[in-house]
Amino acid sequence: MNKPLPILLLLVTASCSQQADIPEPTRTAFDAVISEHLSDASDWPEFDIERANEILDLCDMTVLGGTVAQRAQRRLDRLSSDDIQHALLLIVETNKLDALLRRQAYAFLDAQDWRTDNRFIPRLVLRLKYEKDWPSNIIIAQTLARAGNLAGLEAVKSVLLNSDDKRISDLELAKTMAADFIATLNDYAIDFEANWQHLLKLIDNWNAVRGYDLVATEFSEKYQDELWHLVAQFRSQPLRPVDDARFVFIRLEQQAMTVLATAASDNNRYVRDHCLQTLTWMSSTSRVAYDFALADSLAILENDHFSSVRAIEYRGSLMDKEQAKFLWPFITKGNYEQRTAAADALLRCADLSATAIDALVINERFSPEAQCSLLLLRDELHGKALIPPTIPGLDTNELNRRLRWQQQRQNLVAN
Amino acid sequence: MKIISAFLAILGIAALALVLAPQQQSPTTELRSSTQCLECHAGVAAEWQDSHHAFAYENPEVRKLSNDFANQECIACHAPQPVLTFEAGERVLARQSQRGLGVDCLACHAITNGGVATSNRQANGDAPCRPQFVQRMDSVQLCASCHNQHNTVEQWRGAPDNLKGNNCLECHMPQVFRQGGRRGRDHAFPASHDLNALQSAVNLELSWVNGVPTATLTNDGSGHNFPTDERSRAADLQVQYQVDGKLEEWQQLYRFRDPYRDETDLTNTQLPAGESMSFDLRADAQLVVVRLVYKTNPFMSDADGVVVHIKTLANDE
Repeated sequence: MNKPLPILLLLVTASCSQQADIPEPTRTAFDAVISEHLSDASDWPEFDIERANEILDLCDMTVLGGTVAQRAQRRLDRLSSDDIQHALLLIVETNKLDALLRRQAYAFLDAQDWRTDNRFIPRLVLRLKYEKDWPSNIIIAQTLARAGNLAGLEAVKSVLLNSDDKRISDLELAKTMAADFIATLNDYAIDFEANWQHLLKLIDNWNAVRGYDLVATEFSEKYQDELWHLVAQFRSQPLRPVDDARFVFIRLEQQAMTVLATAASDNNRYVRDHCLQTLTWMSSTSRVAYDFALADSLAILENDHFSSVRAIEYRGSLMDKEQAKFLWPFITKGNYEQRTAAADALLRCADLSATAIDALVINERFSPEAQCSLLLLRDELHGKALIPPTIPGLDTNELNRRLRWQQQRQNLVAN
Repeated sequence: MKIISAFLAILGIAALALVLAPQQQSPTTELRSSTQCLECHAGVAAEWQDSHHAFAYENPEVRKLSNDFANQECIACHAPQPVLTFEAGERVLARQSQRGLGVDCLACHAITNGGVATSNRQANGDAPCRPQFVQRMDSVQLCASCHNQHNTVEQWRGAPDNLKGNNCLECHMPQVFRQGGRRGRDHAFPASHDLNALQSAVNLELSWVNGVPTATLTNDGSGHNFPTDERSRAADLQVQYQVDGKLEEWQQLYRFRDPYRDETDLTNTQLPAGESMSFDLRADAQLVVVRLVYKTNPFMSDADGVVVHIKTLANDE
């Protein structure tokens, strides 16, 4: 009677295992990373728009010449650079109706010597989202470039590509300003075509490395403080501040990603989510964040119930074959959302043996999105022509995203 | 031989037990997708499939306004992770799978332990999806996670008590009786895409006031601004006059709408709950016709909008 017992136990165990509880998700205790940094971070000065207008008037007087200008300059010299930056930014942020006044404020901001105090960069980058005046966009791009940030060059490109359109006020002025500006970027060359090609190269390079050889951005303490204020916006319940912060971060120099890498382990789940998501959008450009802190913290984030999916997704965005070994366990043992994120990430890393994927039963255990990624990858590994799979329940938008990811990765390898 | 017989007998009984065991879904089945809910809840699912919640991710209007979801912050509410995994009233984040299902069953009902939430206090917890009563299912906090992004819940909080109802459910999930007389809440979520809901939200009156024909629109049926939620929504009050026996073209009287943030020359003209707005009309016309046209985006033509109310007033003098 000894032998049947194990078999019976096996049967009972098998039936019981179907009723085993789905494990309670792990909730990791994270530190209040942002609060710790914010406690030391300085704020912008507090004053109202009236005071800001007074400072703009002073700036205006300095160009008049004579004693008036000297007096105005003396008064400006008594102000801190924070005061002046804040005043000029406050004007462009709040005065929605007077484009000429905004242009004037941008021009004064551009005329300052900000090489040692570039805290204004994130706030000025955000103006690229909201500023509708085209000549102002050229001034913004120029100021940012002088400070080592080329995020405004896309706006310059748009201005130069735009055909005459009567609905856009001062387009011709903006085009002239843009043409002059791109000449300064190319050692004041007079050949527009050469300047245009140089602009395109600078944009490509900026998009790839988030750096500008000619001007190294000093990662000053105040600038860093500003980044911590910015990442704190991820905690917001209204989405607008979140979206603004994301807009800025994906347009900053690569050093700024180190703040995202650190804040990705904050105790606020929204912050963790948005930090990882922002880095994911930046794709392989965000490698600096991985090397800075995420290589170590991703394993913890992957096991946190609230951050796991975003952490897996981030690994995929690195488009690095080395990440695949971390992803496979989620394909086999992860929950439904993790399986989707892991399948998508594998498609972006493309490192999976044909044997492993052939052994995988790609069925409804996987979401339509995951099935799509795995099938695309399987066909590619078998050298089959790229034919978008037809999967019930798969949204066209989601199919297109995956085709795009596959293409991006193939382009990266080809280059 | 006896040992073998006993073993075979036990094996037989065990096998029989397995075969005769109820072939129902395991109570711990992983809840992956709302498609799993259809089997037992076909009636509810049919209502939901006609709702704009089901259409949330694939709605071409949404796709256009979100730049085909290139504005990724929109995905959070159009394909959300389960609301109940967030603190009450806090915003949701986007899910990774089955986005095409939009705001699906799991978005509102799934809870962190793998079961589902219900507002039914007598829920059968032994059912495969392990339903359990959760207070928040009946609360505005559940809807607030998405619908307060455009301040609708705040508007509701400030509305007169007689218009508030108890919560969002009173108007947007009215009671229904399904097959077999089972009572439940309507999962079609009637709102601005439903003519009856629009008509019950506001009232249009056309009358003579001190010898002047007057059109009055009153928000006497909704517990929030009209229109509410998305900034794209617009309601146009228009008038048409009959002079010398001929009907003139429709003229715009007023647009009720919360403008986009870059429309700096416009102000918010939504009609708050409980408030009225009156418009004096021409007294020399033989006939005055006034209509309220609801548009899901402000650039929509009148013909593509929905005529919510239309009233006529004859000048008998």
